[in-house]
Amino acid sequence: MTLPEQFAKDEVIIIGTGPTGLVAAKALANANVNVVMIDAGLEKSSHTDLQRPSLARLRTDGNITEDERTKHLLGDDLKGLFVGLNVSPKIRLCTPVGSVSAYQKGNDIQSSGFVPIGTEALGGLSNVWGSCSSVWSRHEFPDDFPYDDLCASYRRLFIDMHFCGETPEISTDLPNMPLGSHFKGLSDRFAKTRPEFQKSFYVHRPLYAVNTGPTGCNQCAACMWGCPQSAIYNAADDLPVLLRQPNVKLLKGYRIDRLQRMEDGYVLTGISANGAPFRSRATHIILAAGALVTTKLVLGCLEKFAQPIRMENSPAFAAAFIDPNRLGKAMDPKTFGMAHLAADMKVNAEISSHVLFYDAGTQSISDLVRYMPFSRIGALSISSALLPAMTVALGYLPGRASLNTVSLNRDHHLHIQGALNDDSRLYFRQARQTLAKNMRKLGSWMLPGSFSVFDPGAEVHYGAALHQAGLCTSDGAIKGLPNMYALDSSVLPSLSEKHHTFSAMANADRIARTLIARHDLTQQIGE
Amino acid sequence: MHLLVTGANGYIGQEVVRYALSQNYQVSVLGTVPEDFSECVTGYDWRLDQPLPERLPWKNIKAVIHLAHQWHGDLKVGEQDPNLTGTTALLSCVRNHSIKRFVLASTISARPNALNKYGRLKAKLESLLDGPEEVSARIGLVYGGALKSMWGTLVKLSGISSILPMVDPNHAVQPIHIRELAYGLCRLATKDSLQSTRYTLAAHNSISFRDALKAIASAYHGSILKVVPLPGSVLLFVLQTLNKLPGIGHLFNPERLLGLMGLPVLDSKDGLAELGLDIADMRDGIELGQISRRRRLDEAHTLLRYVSSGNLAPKLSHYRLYLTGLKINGLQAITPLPRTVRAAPALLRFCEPMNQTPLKRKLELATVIYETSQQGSKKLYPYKKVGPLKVVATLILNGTVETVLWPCRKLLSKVFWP
Repeated sequence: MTLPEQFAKDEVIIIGTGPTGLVAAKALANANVNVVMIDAGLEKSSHTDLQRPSLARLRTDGNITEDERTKHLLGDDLKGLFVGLNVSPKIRLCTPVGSVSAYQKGNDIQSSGFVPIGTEALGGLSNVWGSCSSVWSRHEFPDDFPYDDLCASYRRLFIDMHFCGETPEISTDLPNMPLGSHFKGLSDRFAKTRPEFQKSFYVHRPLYAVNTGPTGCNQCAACMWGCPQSAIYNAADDLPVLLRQPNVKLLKGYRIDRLQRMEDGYVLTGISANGAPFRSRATHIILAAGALVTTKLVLGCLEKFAQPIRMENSPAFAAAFIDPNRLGKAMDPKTFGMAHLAADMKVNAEISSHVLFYDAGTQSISDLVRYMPFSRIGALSISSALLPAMTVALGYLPGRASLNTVSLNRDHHLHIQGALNDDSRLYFRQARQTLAKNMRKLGSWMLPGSFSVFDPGAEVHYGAALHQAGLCTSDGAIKGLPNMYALDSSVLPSLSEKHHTFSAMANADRIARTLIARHDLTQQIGE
Repeated sequence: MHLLVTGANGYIGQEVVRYALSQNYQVSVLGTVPEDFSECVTGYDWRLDQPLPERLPWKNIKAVIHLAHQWHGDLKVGEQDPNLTGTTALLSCVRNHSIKRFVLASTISARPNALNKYGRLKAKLESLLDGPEEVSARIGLVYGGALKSMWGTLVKLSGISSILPMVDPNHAVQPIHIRELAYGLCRLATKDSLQSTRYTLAAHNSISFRDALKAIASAYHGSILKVVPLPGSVLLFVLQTLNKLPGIGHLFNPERLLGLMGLPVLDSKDGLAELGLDIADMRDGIELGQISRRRRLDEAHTLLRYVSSGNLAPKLSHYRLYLTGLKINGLQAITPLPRTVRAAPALLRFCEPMNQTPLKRKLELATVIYETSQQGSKKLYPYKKVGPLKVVATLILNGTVETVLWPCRKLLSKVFWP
């Protein structure tokens, strides 16, 4: 399908096919709204490969050829050879070569002290995400936020999507992944601790958007390399089902660069995947292009140039822990490659941290040794010996501990300025000390020198810019731009230390349903 | 377009002919025809000290690129410099036949009071030029391509030993790759109109002679060169003495040394922009070509042997991954490794870089490749029980080694990878 010069008045344009855009499209389509989804990508970037051997087999089976091992562990385009960036290992192992830089360049995003990450693919960042989902509690939203509606959306998504694990905020009856042998000791010791300790350091099974059914996760342990079973939720996998509805259309390969307000709607301009510029008009626009691009398009449409606004990200850190009881044991050949346990930790009176615990054996050893201050040989010998006893902790702080600003210049280049200040450094220090202390009580010891802080943005998790700048209402309507809404993480009031994707999805569902209930989008259809 | 090239068999001339032919220009050569192009160009025998051949196709010729130079000893009293007489004769012919353009290959050091004879001579030749279509190209330090001329000397010089005494190593030089030069000269000969008659064909941003030598040593000998400053007069004396020794011949030409010592820095920005010539940094430009491919494979071998503690005998597939990895990561620049490390990669443990350097990323790349190899994945991931004692022993051993090596790495990594 090609882009028309003018969309029909009863068509609602959704920009972006990531998780939030998809959830909103579903809700709108079910309410008989005509939906047109537009995405810069042409296909999803992660691919199902049911033939892929498990991680343990890839590493130990001598019958697997060198070429096959390379293909599975480094990717067809050898993207795994991209090294040296201080970003989430999944970015190295899962995203196609150059897609991150193409995203930055294509969308005119520049940054200093910040790593902007995005992919131009159907399904957006859900191609890469770890699928860790969190339910945010009431106190994480402003008082006037319709939290009950959000909870209803959380519950609806619980039915729509496959989940496993648990969340302390909502009682659910979900299946759990088998707990890896790394974590049995930790979990047992936690169960024996006092309630006071549990209040400041609560260890539980994380919530995952992973299908554990017969066609789902087979515990091949290679989640970091992208799920070969497609058991991890990817918005792109829901697209074909949605497109079966007659009132849903998808336009692939159109990157919208600018939105311009006209009397009777908006002009969308951009570049298509074959390099040709395009121009089209539409009346109703919903932005779900991801926190950065949505913010960029809104600022451009409002002509708010050179006015920096605050954008939050959840500052992230990582550390390695050793459980001495497991020294010399064998690694689990069959396990889940994402975090097995999560902890909600009080860092100080104001700040909490959400920490996930991974089995180090399910990571690439190259990603572990790069944080070690030793020589390569030393680091490889030491980490190889410690692998069966090593747990990797990945922690986040709430968005209010971040200090980023975004601004748009007149050429529509988005500039992101990231920084750490003394406060955030203090929080990281406190997080390190508290985490080390609490884990020690549970029999795990932090590996000296292993605590490292990610550059702002490198662990993704950003948003809240539009809400914080007062450019949108809590229902996603952009102030001053009639019939334009945003519903990705850029309209979240603030970022929690807990993962935001699931909450952004629930919020998108809530906004879409509010719009339907208010007939904001549908009033013209009947006319 | 029909070009007449003199000195076509020389270091620069061959590249000029090659480029001109690649642009579908017709080329006639005045002087010795380069063997590689004997099929595609017409040659007319000539030496600078001989009269010009009569049946030259002047009618068709649009431009002359005059590269020929005759090296000679001291002239006798009353004897004319053949370069001067030859060029004068050629110029008068060019004027008689109303040839559109005459390009004289000159040098950055062309000044009446230049330190070297070559600079003084070229200044004299430049003074013969007259009118807007007779232009001189002041050429900088030419590098790359066949190991001939001054370039060949520099490559030899930088490989003699890892410590090189050199006169005034901080002296600024303006390099230009031989291919960039060939393009520039042809462009001067063929461009419709020119705004000037003096063009400096050399990088606008100069680098120190020391850095130039280091880049050559790194690319051609894979070595880290230390350049030690030396008083000019001492080196001149040493070279002149060496040249007198039997068996060495005229390997080192003091004339060239003098040329370097007297090099000025010229502004080349506007001229290069007019010609549309974008000159690469020498440190990048030198990496082109086959030589560096071999160096990169050497580097791959050393680093893969190192990270695998000799456990991996690199195969073609590993080398290929390494080369692809360099490209993906933009790490093509060769990292010079000390000879000892290349001979015994394990020694890298003593001097492995501690801060973010290209070598650190290359080691990371090598680790990824080792980890993915059969030997690596088997060795690195303990899917079988090892027993706590063995683990503790490994930890104590490596912990001790790392602690002892720490100060050594701290010091040596600063020396080798600043």
